Amino acid sequence: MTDPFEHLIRSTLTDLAEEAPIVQDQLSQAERRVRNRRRATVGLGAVGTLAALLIATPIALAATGSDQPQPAAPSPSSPAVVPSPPVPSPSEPTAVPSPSDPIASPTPVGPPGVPGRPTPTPLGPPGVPGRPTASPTPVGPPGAPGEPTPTPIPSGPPGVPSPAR
Amino acid sequence: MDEDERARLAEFVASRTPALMRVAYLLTGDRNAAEDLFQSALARTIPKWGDIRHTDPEGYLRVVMYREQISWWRRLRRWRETPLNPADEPVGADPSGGSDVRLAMRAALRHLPPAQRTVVVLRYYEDLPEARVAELLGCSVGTVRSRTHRAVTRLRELLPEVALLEVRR
Repeated sequence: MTDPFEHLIRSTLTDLAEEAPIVQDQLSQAERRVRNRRRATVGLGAVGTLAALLIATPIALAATGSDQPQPAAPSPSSPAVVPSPPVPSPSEPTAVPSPSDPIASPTPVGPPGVPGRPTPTPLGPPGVPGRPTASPTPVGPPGAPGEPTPTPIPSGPPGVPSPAR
Repeated sequence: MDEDERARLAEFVASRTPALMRVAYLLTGDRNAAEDLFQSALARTIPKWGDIRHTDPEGYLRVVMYREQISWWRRLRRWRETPLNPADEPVGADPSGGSDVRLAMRAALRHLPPAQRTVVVLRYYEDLPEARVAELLGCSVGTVRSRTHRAVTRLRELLPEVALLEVRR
């Protein structure tokens, strides 16, 4: 293990060591370094703690205050996001027609049917009530043959005969 | 730390500073870096002085220096400051015999990485066995062997003319 190359390494290291700098007062400088390091450690710890508090406080407040709506959630009472209330269409039949309110019913009150239930086609004898019907065949009196007479059948109460022209 | 302990610490530092500075200079290869390494190791030793003053404070300080030298942070810091010493320049032939080889060896030692350089100093300057070097550096004996082998190989690569000069002498 002591070949010439290793001997050269040893002698070079020994020569090099003799050139080491001679320093004084290393202890005071090292103590100053210790103080600076301690100060930096304490300062960085305080800054880290403050940063953690600044980050965690809003999160904790948002997590604990669950009674109130969260600020980012859309409010149901907001007028901007609420759609306009549905306008009832006149052509749309009422789901549950009431017999006491004849105006709201799209179908005329025909023959007395079952109350509370809309009757789409009244079964009355004078045609379809509520809709004037032009009948190609004369329905008039049998005394005027060959003359087609439109017979409007006004909507009216069932059982009322249409006036003769 | 009371006055008595501080007086003992001051006495220890004053008595052991030259030897430890030599090791620091060999480890770093630069005067300023050697002083910085020694102060850094001393700054790490001072807070532990109450625990180590009855055991082996110099051994503790040496271990701190060795490990500080090969630490990743110190290596990162040393990359920023590249010392340009006259010994780093290429050495030409010297008719006086021997001095050119030594100067070339100095320059080659400066080009070694810190880990390999530390192993070389511990093995060839401190004359420590491999097991003791492994214990000081906190690594295995195989790691010490491989680092030593790589360091010597690297030195031989950096000094291809050394064998020729030795044969000629």
